[in-house]
Amino acid sequence: MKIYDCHLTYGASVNIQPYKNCDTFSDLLDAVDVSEIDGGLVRCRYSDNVGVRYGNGFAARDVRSALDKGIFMRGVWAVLPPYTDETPKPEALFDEMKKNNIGAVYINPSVHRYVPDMLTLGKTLSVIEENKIPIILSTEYGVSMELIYKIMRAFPRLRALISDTDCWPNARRLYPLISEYENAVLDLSYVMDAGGIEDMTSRFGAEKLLFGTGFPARYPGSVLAMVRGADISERERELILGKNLENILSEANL
Amino acid sequence: MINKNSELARAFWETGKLPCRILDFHAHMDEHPQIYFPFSSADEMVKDMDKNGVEHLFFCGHLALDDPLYGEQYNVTAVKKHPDRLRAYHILHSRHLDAERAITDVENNPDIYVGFKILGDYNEFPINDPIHFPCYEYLNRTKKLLLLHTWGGSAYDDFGNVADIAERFPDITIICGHSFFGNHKKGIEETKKYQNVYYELTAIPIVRGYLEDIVNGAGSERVLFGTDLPWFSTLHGVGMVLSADISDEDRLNIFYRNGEKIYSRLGLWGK
Repeated sequence: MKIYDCHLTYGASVNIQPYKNCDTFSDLLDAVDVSEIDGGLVRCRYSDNVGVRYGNGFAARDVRSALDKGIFMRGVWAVLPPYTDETPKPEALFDEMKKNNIGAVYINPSVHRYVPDMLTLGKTLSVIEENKIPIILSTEYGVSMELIYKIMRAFPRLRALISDTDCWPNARRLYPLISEYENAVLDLSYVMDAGGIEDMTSRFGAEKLLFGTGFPARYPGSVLAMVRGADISERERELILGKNLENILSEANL
Repeated sequence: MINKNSELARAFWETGKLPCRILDFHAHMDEHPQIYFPFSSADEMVKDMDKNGVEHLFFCGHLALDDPLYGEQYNVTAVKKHPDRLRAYHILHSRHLDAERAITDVENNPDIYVGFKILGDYNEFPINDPIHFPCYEYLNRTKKLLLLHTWGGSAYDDFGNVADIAERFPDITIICGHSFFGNHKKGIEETKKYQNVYYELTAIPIVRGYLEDIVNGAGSERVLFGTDLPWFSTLHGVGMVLSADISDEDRLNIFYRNGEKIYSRLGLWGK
């Protein structure tokens, strides 16, 4: 059974966030190897902390090195509104991602300081929706739950990987999105409630859940143990731990 | 497989269950207004314990925590239904405190209660206020448990408040729920000299590195496993312990060995 983590990050930080870090991509690969995680989606925190182009460049370069070693990794790029030409224009985004082994994008309007509105994001989100490009919408990256609801209302077919790091993430905030939007899936990296995985699997199907750890900010074992010990079928476990991410990437041809 | 350097982790990955007992010293039950729980009744909690290999659970239900007038009875009902698996902490509501009655409840029901619990932050009331002293004197005399919500930076339940209680009442077994989350290093440094102070793991899993700090600072012999069930899955905590950078001996201390020592001290379940 392959284990692919949809929520990995690396890159040095000048402060104490996260509390225990993986400064380099090599540190990340070593740590992931201890947990026998086979690969996944990886974001370089420099896209938020240093420079968007700088961090996106690191992600592309490092993922290439992992692929050369036979490790299944895809990068995650930050995207900006197209009016300053700092990230690929919407019409060029898919090709640039494919060329650079990028499997998903994310937005962080809070750190990147723009107004998250249809004016700033509309064209990009249209292209993302049309090409089935996975987009990470997470409160961890400065996207409020209200904004996630607004985006999903405007782009209901979006392949959204949603996660919520509110103090007590819970069903009342997440279930409506997972239930009502066909292509919205839940990144489990901040899911921790007892019986949560079984409950969501029975309500929405295992296809709606993606294994993610939030490593290195969070312990990789927590979600791994929850999925391993969940009272679900082996087929469902296999989907959650890796197959779903594989399917999403292959559906997008990324 | 979580951690290829750990035999315990390997065994867990093969079967989905730990090959050792788990004693959970910090749990709740019943509904809560801020969250949907897939399950929260006493019967469901015990079913979950069976699934995950948790032998005993020490809890204080949400109804008792949040209703100072009528909630305590639900703790009693739950333990009476599952006397082999559950024990309760009697809640002390600082702003509605009837110390004499609380002491009588605990004293007269040794098969229900293991001690008291206080939520200083939630009550907005210092846990070391003298109003609680009659209850602490009782715990000191009987060596029963005091489960505290402890939080870094709190005016009500940070390390200074705990140290004051431990200094005055050295025989109480004090369990620092959440281990002074956010200020855990300083909290441990300031309280570890009190030999009956233990550090508990609820909320700790959400920050990688905290468990290693606690084990390095206090020694794994002073750490108790706890989950806040049903807020956190038992497996969420198990996975943290399995993937942390500590030894399997430390893990066994945390999962059950330290708890067993407390059992002998209190004579729980005939031990």
